[in-house]
Amino acid sequence: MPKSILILDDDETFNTLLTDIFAHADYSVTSIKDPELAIESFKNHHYDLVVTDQKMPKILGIDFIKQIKNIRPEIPCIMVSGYLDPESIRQLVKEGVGGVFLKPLNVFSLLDKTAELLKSLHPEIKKGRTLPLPTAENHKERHSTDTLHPCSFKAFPCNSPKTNEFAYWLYTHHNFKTSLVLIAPPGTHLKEISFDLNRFPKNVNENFVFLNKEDIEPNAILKAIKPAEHQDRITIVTPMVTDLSPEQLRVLEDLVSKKNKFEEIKKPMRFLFFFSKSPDRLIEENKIPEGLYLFLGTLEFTVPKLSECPEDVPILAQHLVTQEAKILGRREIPKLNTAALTHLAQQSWPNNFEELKALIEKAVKRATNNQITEEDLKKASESTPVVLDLKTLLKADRDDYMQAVYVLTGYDIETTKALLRI
Amino acid sequence: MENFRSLILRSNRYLGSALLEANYITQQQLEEANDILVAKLKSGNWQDSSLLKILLFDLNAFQESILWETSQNTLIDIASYNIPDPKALGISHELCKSTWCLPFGHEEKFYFIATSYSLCKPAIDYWEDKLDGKIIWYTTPMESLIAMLHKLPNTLQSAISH
Repeated sequence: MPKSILILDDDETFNTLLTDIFAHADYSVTSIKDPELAIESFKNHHYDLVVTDQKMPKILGIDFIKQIKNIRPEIPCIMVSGYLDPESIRQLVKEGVGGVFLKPLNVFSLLDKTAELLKSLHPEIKKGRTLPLPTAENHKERHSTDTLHPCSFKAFPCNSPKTNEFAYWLYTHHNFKTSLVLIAPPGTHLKEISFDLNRFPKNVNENFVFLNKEDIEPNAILKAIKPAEHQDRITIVTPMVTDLSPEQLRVLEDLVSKKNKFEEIKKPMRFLFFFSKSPDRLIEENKIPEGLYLFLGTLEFTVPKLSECPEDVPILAQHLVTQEAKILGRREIPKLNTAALTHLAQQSWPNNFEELKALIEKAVKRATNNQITEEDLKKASESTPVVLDLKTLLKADRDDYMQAVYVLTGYDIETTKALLRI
Repeated sequence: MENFRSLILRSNRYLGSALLEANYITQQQLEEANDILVAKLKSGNWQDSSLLKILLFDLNAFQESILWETSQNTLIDIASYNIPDPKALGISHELCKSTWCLPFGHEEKFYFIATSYSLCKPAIDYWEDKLDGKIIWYTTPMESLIAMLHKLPNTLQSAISH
């Protein structure tokens, strides 16, 4: 039976367009132009999803959604609008809007989002209700569907308000022009966050260039950038700027202003900077060159600490278990039991993601059966690192290499296969 | 002691972003102005360290009248006022020069302050914090503000060096 969609838009042309789009995608569509009739219809019929315009003469789309959510909070809603600033989008998401689309519409994205929301429609997912901790049984499904998030975000499962806010901030600013600053606590998974940024849809051909600390030297930077020069834009992801030496900071200052050895770079560049503390503090302490500081702009956000998002920890942990088990070539993926998941969610994680990752790696290596218990985690945290054999280490490197090629080819599996001859 | 160097840099960084965000200037103009500003700072010319001044008078990047039209403050020409020495109001000359703000009166616990940096959050916040929010803000043309601030003794450089 086709899923049914209720469309509310007072604009006849746009209403017809939306109706055609969804009807062609084999949905059963009811299109209404009057909000009062739409609410009446919603009360009396079953709909799987609601699509509404924001600006209508009788009612704002958000107020219509509030009424819909009062009747059946679990029904996902999509908003389409001519213009919305990031703050309004955040507000809409807070009110339970599952997807926000600006006109002109990207039809494919709209249909993708619709399918994703319908797939994630589950009676236990209700607005304003905290999702329960994942159990050993449901964690896999939860991570793979990315809950209700309207964009694909993998660095955090976004089950907590802090990470959800962070993901939306990053998403709403992913088209930044020149500079984005993320203040990340120690042990943050910088690469995974930048991979997420790279995954967001963009309207230019660009290459992401990830610079490691040892790359911050003119020749190494030019070498890293060279393969990207056929693209329209280069996005450079810096290592933790606060870890760089004064000499490296000067190199970075030259790079952002295309000076000295970097004069030859012709393509537009933009930068994702990672700092361990606010650039304002650094300039106060005289620890950052003035030119670099002024270049930073003011798009700045603090990445949440793991202790601020306990709801995310169990899902991240099981994801890491799966990842580590695959690296080790385990036939069966061990599962963290409920007590282990609860234990993980209660820790303070001063070294954040890296600390969680290190613990999980140890626990998986030590695991002798397919269940990891709270006791196993406690033992793993007390243990010394497990020494791996050469084969395992080489396999881990091979997997990292493959993943890097996959990312650099813009997630093109065919090109990756061709390049690696596999 | 107040960190004027940091205040100057923060004020100019945020002002540049605010002007860019409002589409008054382009990214290229901002980068060019930042370069000029950094060159001035490196040569020790802190007295002249205004991104707005560079954008308006060196690069002719935009018309200042846009700022007057969009400002929520009353517009005054500070050059036509008899300005008391800010020190008489308990305000240092260095603070005025770092933030491009100039107090020109004090009535019933309220300070009247003229600025061309009303889009600059760090400068405004600094003053609001310092004077407990008891400020009535006025917008003034940059040219007049430069003239008035230049009348104050040039002590900024030494305050920053120390």
